[in-house]
Amino acid sequence: MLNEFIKFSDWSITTLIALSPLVGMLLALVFPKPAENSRTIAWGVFAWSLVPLGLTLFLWLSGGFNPALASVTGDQAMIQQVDRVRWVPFFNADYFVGLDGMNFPLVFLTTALTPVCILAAFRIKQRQNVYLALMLLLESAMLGYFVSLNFLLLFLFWEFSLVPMFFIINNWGGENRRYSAFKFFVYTMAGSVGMLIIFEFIYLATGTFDLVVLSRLAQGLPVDPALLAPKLGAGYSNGATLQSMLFSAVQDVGLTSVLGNSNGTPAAIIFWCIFVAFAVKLAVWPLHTWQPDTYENAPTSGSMIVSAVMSKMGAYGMIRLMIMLFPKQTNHFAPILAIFALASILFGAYAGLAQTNLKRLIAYASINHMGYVLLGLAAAASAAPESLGNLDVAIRTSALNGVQAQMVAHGFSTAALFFLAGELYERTGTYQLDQFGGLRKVMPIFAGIMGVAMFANLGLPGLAGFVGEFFIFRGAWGTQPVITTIAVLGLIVTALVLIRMYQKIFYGPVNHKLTNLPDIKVGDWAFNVTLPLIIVLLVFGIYPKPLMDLSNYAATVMAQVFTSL
Amino acid sequence: MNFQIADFTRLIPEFLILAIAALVLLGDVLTRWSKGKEALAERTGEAIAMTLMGLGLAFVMVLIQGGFFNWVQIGDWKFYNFSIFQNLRTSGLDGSILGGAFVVDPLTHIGRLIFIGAAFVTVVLTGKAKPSNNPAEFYALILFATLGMIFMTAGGELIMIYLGVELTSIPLYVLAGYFRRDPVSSEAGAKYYIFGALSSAILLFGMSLLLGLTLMNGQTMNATPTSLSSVKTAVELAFANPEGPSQGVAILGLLFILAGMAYKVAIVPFHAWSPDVYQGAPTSMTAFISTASKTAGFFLIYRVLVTGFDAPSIMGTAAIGAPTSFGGWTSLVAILASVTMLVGNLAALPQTNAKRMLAYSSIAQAGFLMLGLVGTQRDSSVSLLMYLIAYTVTNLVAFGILALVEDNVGGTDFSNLNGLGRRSPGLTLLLTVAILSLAGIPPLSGFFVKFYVFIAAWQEGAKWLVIFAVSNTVISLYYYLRFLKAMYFAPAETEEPIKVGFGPGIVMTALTLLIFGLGIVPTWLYGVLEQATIRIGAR
Repeated sequence: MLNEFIKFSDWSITTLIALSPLVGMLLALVFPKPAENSRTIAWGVFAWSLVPLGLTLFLWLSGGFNPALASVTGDQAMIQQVDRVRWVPFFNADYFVGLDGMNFPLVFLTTALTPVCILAAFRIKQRQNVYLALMLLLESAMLGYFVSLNFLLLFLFWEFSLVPMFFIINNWGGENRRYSAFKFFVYTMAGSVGMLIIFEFIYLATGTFDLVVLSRLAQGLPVDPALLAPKLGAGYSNGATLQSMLFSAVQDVGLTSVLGNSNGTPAAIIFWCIFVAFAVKLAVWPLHTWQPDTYENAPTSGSMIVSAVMSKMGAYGMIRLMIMLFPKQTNHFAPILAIFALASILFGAYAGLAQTNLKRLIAYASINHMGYVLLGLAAAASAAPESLGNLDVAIRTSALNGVQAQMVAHGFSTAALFFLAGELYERTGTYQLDQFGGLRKVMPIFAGIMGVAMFANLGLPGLAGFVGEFFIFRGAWGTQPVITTIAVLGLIVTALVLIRMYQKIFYGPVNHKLTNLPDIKVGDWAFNVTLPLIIVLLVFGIYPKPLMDLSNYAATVMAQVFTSL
Repeated sequence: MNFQIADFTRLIPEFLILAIAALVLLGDVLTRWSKGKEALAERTGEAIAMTLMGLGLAFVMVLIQGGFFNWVQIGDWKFYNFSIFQNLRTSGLDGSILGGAFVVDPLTHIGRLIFIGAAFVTVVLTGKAKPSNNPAEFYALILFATLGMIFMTAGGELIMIYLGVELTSIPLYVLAGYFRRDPVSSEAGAKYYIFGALSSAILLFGMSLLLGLTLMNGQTMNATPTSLSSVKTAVELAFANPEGPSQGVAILGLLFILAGMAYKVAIVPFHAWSPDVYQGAPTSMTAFISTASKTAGFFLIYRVLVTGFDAPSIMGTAAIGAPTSFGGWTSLVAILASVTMLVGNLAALPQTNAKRMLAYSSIAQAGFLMLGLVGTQRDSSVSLLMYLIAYTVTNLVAFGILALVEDNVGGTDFSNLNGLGRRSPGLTLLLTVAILSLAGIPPLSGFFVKFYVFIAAWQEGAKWLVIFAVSNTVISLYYYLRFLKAMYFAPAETEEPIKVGFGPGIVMTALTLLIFGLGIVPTWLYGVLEQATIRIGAR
């Protein structure tokens, strides 16, 4: 039964990908501290961070992970490269990791960006080895989160990823670092309180933490009763769904007198708890206020990783837990989600216009871009108008594919922008936009690289950012035409925000204090950091097929869930 | 059933602690006996060293005796331990000695480890406290209290249990009021003593009722009338004949015992003493009272309830509705649990003193703990024991770090914690971990044990209680986060770091790692605890 949708392989390397950074972390910490300006440890950590990337690329290119593989029953994507070991027997919980089309792009994003961020962290002088060790710890926590297929395990990684990020901001951040670190921590923590309680309840009601089993239950697909803890829950019988099991648990407790006798109420409450937890991480309006502070005050490489990868943890959580476990509820509340997305898109864009601080401006542009991600998810889940007909599945699939592409593209372009913002700061000592001016003449290569990153970020055709936005909008037109019409406004304003930023930095009269800034030279350190980012942005902008192929099958299967609702 | 010479070896840890306590007292007389400052420091140092060595030795002894060390087999090679260890092992495991009064089962071993460990940590924490005129008595009293706790856990018979309770309580009364010059501390001691004496009387009264019951049933030919097994038989007989008067006696006896023990472990409505005592006692002693003493009380309650009163008719069920109705002691425990956590949480909200707030939090934690007592299935028992261990470790860290801060700053109000994150980031981190664990945040042990008692209570049918407890965890988050607010948000008066000695630093760090370890791999204690509960009769 289990083997029908889980593919064990003789040489699963998922665990190796996710946990190998931990070994590097230990090595970085125990390695005797070299002389002041020595880069031995930094290069060592960098080399180590290439290991997960190499393994991921190997899986991708060698075909060890086949994104188009269907489960034996044909009702879901096959989960591959699985490691499944009993972990906490009395919670019926396994150490269960695996890859499918929904998490593989994000695993690639994480493993690809961490080496870049580590390279960018060479600027850190103070206790560099600890900083780099924390980066590896963070990578491991995030990878663990993306590959976990057990709710308990996923939750542990989710909470644990806060710890290294907290210290990175708190100890190495900018002016307001302590305040920002604490705000970041408390926001995420407070957001997940609801999810913490809810996830305990889900276990009590169903007797399993297994996300694959839960999502099969949610879709009404058959489940092997042996996978559920015997003494818990209302007992699984054929035809039971997650929603009905939750409801019968609520009935057992006698809460129906409070919550009413409607079958869907408990699931709806749980849906919103999960949404809030992940909306905080994704910085969806109105839960975004921690985000500009964090991005502004984190050290450059910290901003890069938190904006490029960590915010995607929210979107991934929505896919894996919200959409997959509560498809009916997502479908029902999709218009509200779309409105939240619209608010993020518009407020992020307009707030970006008002910013005078470069990092805060990029942060607000990120809120705008994450709004598109949420819009894509809402569009994929929305009820489709009759007129769509056969296009229904295609529309939803393209929205989901767009979400994945947007996440990857935004990761690379924002990382590049934050890195270049940090480099500007290193050269000029300020993030204030009105302090710059005319730098194109002083630093032409710098301006060129930043231009590519900026245009990729705002979604210029030919660069990776366009692909995601195009597919999201293509999906969203079909199911949420009104909101999408208004959201287009966001596209224009963001473009305005970013171009205005670019103009203020690189055009206009040259600030006389800044005439002697060193430019980026071909082959120097800063060039090497940005080069891979730019290459990826260009490649996926021109030829996005490999990236889209990764998620396409999983997205199609997921889209079918919504068409059949 | 008489005392045999072989029983000596089974009691080695107890004899060892007793001997060390006597040595600490005696050794104090033999050193430079003066009240000068230097002499006092030397005497304190010696007492601490001897106590720590004794406790460490006893800890290792229990590890060996409890069979926590196993043979190592690599291929065909089998590595044996020293033969002396083997002898200790074979004699250490199991058996009811002193005529069944002292039960050496895995539960006792676990209890010994917890109490000896907690005493060790406490002694390390007192290291910097001002030496009084007679430092040795302080440490000897800790040792005596530890001994009493082991007797409480191991007692298989009512008189032994009562002696254990008294042997624990009397030294703790003295220790709570140890700072005689300080009116708050004296008040704490006096209050603890008065409440404690009253509760002992109630406990004793309940025991006498049970003794009457066993004698009345006239089945004393083969068994000690005060042993828990006789109580069990008598209770079963009493309930088999509902017409007779003995059923009422059994219920009364149980109620009085529960009430007496509820005082000791600070369960609402018998909790009023605990905030005052916790706040007034020297902080290291608060750590000891709130962890070891409470754990010993729960072990005792657990053993008495499970071995003496596990007949279904008196156990009842805490489930509301069909098929069985609400009743029996499990329902009483469930009600007490819900009241305890609610009162503890609500009373903790307005506190301004960190120690006092942790006192109320300990009351609330006792409420959560009792979720593991609403039934005697295996999951319930294991989760109760696991919770006790995690709670002990976490509370030791929380109170221990407060003690270290108090040594430097001179108070435990929240204002004293202001800006601690800036002054001593490392120390603050440890306290943060402990606080988050108490609040039940994954991946810390506090989360796992809380969730485990929820599951256990759910399986026992007390689903309403689980929902109630879950909503209580949300209340508790608020006041736990106040710690973080003070430590990270509030501005510091000085930037001067908190001075922490080497010993306390190491011990606190080790315990914090244990909080993580028990969280990420919660299974490694499971086997041992399961054995303990099977042996004691959990189903």
